[in-house]
Amino acid sequence: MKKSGFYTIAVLLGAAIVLSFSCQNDKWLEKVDDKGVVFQKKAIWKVENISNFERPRGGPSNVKFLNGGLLDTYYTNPQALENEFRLLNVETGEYKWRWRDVIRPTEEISMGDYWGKSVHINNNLLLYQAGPRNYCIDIQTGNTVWEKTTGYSGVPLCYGMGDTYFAFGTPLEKFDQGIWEPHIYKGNLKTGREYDFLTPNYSRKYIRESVSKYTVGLIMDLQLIKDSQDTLMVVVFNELGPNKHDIIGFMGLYSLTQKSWIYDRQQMFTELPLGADGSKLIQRGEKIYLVCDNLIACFEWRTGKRLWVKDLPSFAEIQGIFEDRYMVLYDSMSTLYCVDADTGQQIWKLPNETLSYTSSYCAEGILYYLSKGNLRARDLKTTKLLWDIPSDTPNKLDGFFWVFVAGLPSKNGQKGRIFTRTGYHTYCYEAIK
Amino acid sequence: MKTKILFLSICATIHLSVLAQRNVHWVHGLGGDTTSWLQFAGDFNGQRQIVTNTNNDYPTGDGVGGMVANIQTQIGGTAGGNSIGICHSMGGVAGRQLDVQNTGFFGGIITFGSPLRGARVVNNVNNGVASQYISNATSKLLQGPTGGIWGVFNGFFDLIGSRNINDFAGDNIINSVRNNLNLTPQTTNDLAEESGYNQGFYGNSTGTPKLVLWGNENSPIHVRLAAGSQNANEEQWVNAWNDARQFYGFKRDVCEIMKWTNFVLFPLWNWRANNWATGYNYLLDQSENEWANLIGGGFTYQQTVTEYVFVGTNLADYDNCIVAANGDPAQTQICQDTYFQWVTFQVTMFGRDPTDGLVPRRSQIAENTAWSSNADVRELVGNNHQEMRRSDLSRGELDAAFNGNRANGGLFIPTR
Repeated sequence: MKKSGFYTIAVLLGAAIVLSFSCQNDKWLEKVDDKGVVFQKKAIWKVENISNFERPRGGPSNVKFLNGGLLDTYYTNPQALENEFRLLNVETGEYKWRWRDVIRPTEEISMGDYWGKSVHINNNLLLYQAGPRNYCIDIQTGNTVWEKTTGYSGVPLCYGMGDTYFAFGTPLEKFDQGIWEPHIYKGNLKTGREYDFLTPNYSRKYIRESVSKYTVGLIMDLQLIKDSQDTLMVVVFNELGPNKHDIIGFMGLYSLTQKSWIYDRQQMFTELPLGADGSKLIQRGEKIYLVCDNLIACFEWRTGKRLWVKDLPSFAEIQGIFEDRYMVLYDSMSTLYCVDADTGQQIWKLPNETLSYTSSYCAEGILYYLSKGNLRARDLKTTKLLWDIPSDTPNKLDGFFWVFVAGLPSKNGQKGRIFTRTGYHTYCYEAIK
Repeated sequence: MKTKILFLSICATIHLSVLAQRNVHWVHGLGGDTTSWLQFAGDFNGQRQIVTNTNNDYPTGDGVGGMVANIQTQIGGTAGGNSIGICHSMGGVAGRQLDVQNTGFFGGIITFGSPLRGARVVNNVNNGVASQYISNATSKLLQGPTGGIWGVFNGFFDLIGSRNINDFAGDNIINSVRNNLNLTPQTTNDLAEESGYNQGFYGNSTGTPKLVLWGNENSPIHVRLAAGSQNANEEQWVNAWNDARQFYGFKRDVCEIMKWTNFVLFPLWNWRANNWATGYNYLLDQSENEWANLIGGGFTYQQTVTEYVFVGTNLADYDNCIVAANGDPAQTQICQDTYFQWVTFQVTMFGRDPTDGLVPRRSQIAENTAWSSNADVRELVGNNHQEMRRSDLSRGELDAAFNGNRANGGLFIPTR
C-alpha cells in the first residue's frame, strides 16, 4: 500500500474516533426518563451571578434581549444588595458591559415586573426606571447617557413608544403632605426632559388613610396602543370605596393624538367593589386583559366594555397569550389553566403545578416555565410534559430555578435558546425546537 | 426668632413627609427576638419610604394574648391604617388577633408560615409523643452500629463524617420547640392544633389587605428543617443524610452477602443485616413519614388495587397443570384461569401534605376560615419554617407586595 493510502486510512480513522466521541458526548447532553421526559440537561453555558455564595440573590423577573445580549444583574456585594447590570453575550454568557452608575450608593438595581415594564428600549437607548430615579443607558457601550431624580414618588415602571416614555407617581409636594395621588409624566428618552402630563379623573369622593394618610387613588398600569389613526393610552386605576377597605377599579382611554379622554372612568366591576391588582395589562388586538383578585377579565379597550370574566379559586396571574389564542393562567392554589383568549372558555387545566411568580416563555408550540424549582417544558396544546429539569444546586437556599425563564426563537436552522436563573447562576440551554 | 422659624419649618417638613410614608412592624415568632427579622428589616428600611420600622423583642411565653398585649404596648403609637405588620409563625397568630379585635391596628398584614389553625407538633411535644419519636429514631439508627461484634459505638456517626445521631433523630428540633422557644403551658394551649383559642378566630373576617405566605419544603423535610433550626448549611445536612443512608444500605448488603457465604454464622449475619436494614429503611422514608405525622402533615388513605395474583395453594400444582396441558392453548388457558385471577383489594397508603417542615399548609393559610378568605395566598417553594425569614424568594414576595402587586395594591410602599 502506498504511503498516501496509510495517510487516508489514518485520517479516516481519526475522523471516525472524533465523530464517535462527539456522538457519545451528545448522548450525555440530556437524560430522559421512561416517559420521555428530559430530567437532566447540559447547559450551553452557565455563569455566576453573585460574588459571595453565602448570600444568594434573585434577579430580574423578566429579562430583555438587546444588542445580542441578555440584560441580567450581578451582585458584587450581595449582603449589601449592591448589584450591577450585565449585558451577557447570549452565545457565551460573557458580559459585554456592566453598569452601576446609580445615584444612591446603596441602591439595588431591580427589574421586578415580570412583564418587563421596568425598562424601555428604543434604538440604542435603554430607559431604566427605578421609582423616583430614571436612568438612560447606551446599550452599545453601557455608558450613562443621562440620569435624574424625578420630582415624584413612583413605582419602578415605565412605558415607551419610540423616543417618548411615560411613568407615573405622586408629585413630591403632594407626597410630602401625605397625599397619594399618582399623575402620569411624559418624558423624552434622548434628553430625560419630562413633565406632568395627565392625571386620571379621580372622583375624590372617598379619601382616607390607606397606602398613605390621604389616599386619592392608585394607578395600577398603563398600556400604549397605536392604531392606524391614533396613538392611545389605557389607564387603569383604583380608588377607595364607601366602606373601609373597599377598592374600586376604573379604566380610562386617552387619545395622545387628540389630547383628550375618549372615556375617563369606566368602572370595571359595577356589581361588586373590586379593583385591579398589580398584574399588568395585556393587549391583544381589540382586547385588553387584566387581573382583579381571583378574576381574569377581558375588555374591549375602545369602549371599556367588559367581554368576559373567568373566576379562579384563588388569586390569579396571567402567564401570557401564546400562539394567538392560548391564554395561560395560574392561580395561587397551584393550578395552571389554558383558556381561549377570545371567549375565556377553558381549554385545559393542570392541578398541582406550582409556578414561580415570574415570566414564562413560549416558542413553536412549547411552553417553558418554572415550577416547583424546576425548568419545565410542555406542549402547549396537548400539555405533554417534555422537560422537568432541576438546577444543579437544588439543595442550596434559593438554589432552584425561580428567578426567570426567557428564550430566543430558532434561527438559521439552529434551535432556539432558553435562559433561566437560580440565586447563584444564570444558565443557557438549547431549546427543544 | 429666625432660628425658631427654621426649627418650626423643619418640624413641619418632617411631619408632612411622615404622613406620606408607611410604618412597618416586623413581628417574630415563637422564641424569636430582634435578630429574627434583622436582615429583611434592614434591607427594606433602606429601600422603601418607611418612617417607623420596628423590629422589637416580644415575649412569647405568656400565650398569644400576652404577646398581643406587648405588641400593642411597644408599637401602639405607630400602628394604624397606614402601617403594615409582617409576621412570622406565632407572630402571625398574634397579628390575626390584633386584626380581629383591634380593627385598623395594621392597615395591611403579611404572615409567613403562621400556624393559623395551630401546630400539631406543639400538641405532640406537650403530650410526650415527640419524645417517643426521638427515642424510636435513636433506637432504630443505633441498631446497626451497635449490633456488631465491636459493641456499642457511640462515635459512629462522627466517624463516618456524618452528623451527630441526635441531629438525625430530630432531638434538636424538638428541644428547640420545647426548651429554647420557651414553650410554656399557656402558649402550648394557644398554639395547639385546632385549639379553642384558634377556633375562636375562624369565623371572623376583616377587610384588611392580607398576604399569606406558606412554605412548602422539599423532601426530606425534617432534615432541612433541622439544618434551618441550627442555622446550618442545608445542603451539607441533606448530603450527610443521604451518605448515612447509603452507608446503612452498604452495610446491610455486606451482611446479606456474608450470611450466604458463611452458613455457620448465618443467624448472626442475618440478625446484623436486619439491624442495618432497620436503620436504612428508617432513613429512606420512615423517619420523614413519622415526622410528617408528628407535625400533622401526614395522612393515610385507602387505595383500591387490582392485581393478577396466584390464588391456588401450591405453585407446583400450576406447574403440573401446564405440563399436563402439553402446549394445548385451551388447556393452558384453563390452568391460568384456575390458578391466577384478577383480585381487587384495599391497601393503606401514606401521603404527606405540603408543609414547611413544622406547620402544614392548611394551617399556614388558615384554610376554610373567614379571616383568610380575602387573603392573597402565595407559596414559597422549597422554603422551610426558618428559611422563609431569610430566603431571597421571600424578599422577592415582599418586594412585589411593596410594589403594589399583591392584595390589590394595599401593601404598597414607594421606593426611596
